[in-house]
Amino acid sequence: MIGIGNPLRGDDGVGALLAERVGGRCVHQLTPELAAELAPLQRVLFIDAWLVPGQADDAPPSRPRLDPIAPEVAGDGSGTSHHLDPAQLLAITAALYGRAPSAALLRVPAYGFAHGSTLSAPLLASLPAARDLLQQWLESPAAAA
Amino acid sequence: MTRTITIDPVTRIEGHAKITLHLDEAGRLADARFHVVEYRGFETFCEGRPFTEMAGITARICGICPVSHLLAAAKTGDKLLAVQPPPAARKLRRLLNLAQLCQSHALSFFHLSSPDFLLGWESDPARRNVFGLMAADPDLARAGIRLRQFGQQVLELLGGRKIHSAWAVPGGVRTPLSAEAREWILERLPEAKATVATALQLYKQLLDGPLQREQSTFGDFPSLFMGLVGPGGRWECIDGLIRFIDSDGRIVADDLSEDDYASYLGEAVESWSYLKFPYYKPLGYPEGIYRVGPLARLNVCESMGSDWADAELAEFRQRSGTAESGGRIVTSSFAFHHARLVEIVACLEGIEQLVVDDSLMTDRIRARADLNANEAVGVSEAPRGTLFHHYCVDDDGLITRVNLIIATGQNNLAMNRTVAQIAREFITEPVADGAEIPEPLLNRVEAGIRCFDPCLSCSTHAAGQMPLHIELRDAAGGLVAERLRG
Repeated sequence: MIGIGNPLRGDDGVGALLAERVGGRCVHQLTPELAAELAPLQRVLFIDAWLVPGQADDAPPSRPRLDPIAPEVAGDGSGTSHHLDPAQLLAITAALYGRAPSAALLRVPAYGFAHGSTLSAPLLASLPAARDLLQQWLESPAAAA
Repeated sequence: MTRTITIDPVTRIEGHAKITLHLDEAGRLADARFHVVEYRGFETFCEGRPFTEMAGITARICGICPVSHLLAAAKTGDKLLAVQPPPAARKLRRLLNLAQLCQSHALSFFHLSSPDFLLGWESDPARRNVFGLMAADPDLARAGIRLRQFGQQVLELLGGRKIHSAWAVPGGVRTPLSAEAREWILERLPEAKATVATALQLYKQLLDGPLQREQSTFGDFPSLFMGLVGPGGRWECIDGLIRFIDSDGRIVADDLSEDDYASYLGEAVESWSYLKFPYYKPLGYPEGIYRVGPLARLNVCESMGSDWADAELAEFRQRSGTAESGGRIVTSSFAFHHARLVEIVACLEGIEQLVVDDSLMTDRIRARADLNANEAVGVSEAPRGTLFHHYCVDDDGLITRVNLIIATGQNNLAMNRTVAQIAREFITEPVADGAEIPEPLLNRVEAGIRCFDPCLSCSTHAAGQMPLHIELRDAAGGLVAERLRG
């Protein structure tokens, strides 16, 4: 498991929080050398904050989502920054090492990335559901990955 | 009627920024601006925290160069304790920084910049990236990733996987070099050296051919250069004193202490950017423009301190040094790329020298003391340039004020001038109303900024990637044309 995000940037730290509790790895962003570590793995779960833009106050809170992901070259930004999205990292892994693990992305709705180590109330409310999905992935690798 | 072209945001740099190109009434370039459009709030966040936590906190500002903040914070902490770290601790910190420079430069060269060189400026932007590079030269792409991984692994072997957990602390470091780490590093060094040797050979071939125009038009202008130097003017990355040198090779100021930075560095502010504009105070603003980072470090030093790196420094100067300086100074910002490769060589040789030093395996690696000062400044050479941390603390050791002078900010004036020079080179005819923004200009202005490998995560507070947006505006600020990419 790889938790993505900065624990000192509010809700951005949720990936690290969840990954750490189950012995996973935490990174600020995905960078290409992780491809070498992913290549020999059977499966990987990425956990990331999922910014909810402009959600109306009376809208129901978004729920965490667990989705399978596949290697994809043309992701956001097309690999042009210091960081990659999970599908791009999988694409690098497959291209350079001939294979990539089966993968899933757990996205947890996030509401703000201001400086601070405190998670927002709506994100905290969605943590039990996120943990359930995490447990589901751990127990059912074939189904979730 | 004057008009403005805006590139917003800029791709393949860290953080959020945009570029505007201002045209005069005749449609020719009048000015260029590199804007940082998000505000950094990190210094305020640190207030009220114990200074002993600053290494761990500031290392979390950014995932790209956490070690630089870790080391600057630890060195500032040394001064607040008024202690000198044991010799082994200083060597271990140096080893950590060498690995950091190596991995960061590898990411910049292989992942972010080499697609421009190797795939060609006019190639499809959708493929002119690391994926295109993998398709064109998978061996080079794989080697670049493994070089980056080498540096990262050295960081983890020293500091643990969680490098943010403050392995470097006020007074020293937490753990010595292990025998297993030494063995792994020595085993992997030959491959790392072979990779940078291949990259250097390839890059020099490109410099002799298709990159000649870029070398002379990507930010090639006189300025000061600033960096740390060691005894005898040796290349330095963590200890040493500050030196300024000008484009003619004259040492303008030497043996400056970071403690006195406020006496020689000013920070100007412009209304159109959150990123400040540091300058060399004695020359004023903006005449006091200076550059930091790999190019500056190679310009200020007399030698690299190891055989292969010294040979590469000599060739770097022979190839690109200006006639005015007798070949001593390289003024083209495009040479940042070449300088990164030379620094990787220096880092690998430095790592090789240090890792066989048995004194790094001692347990005497940390000096302990109570708070003995209320104000201190620490400095280190980050991959992108000289990094200052300045803390004021109360008698309980709680932070009351923080000032961070970040490398990317110090190159702000130079980045602006680089963009203007590139735009002048590629806007050779007056731009008519409603004209398309030319692709060559778009490509090269972006690439000009990438020479500096700016990282705005700690210069401001942003994180994320940056698609490209150029706008053309008239004298009244009206939008005439725009381009979006990414």
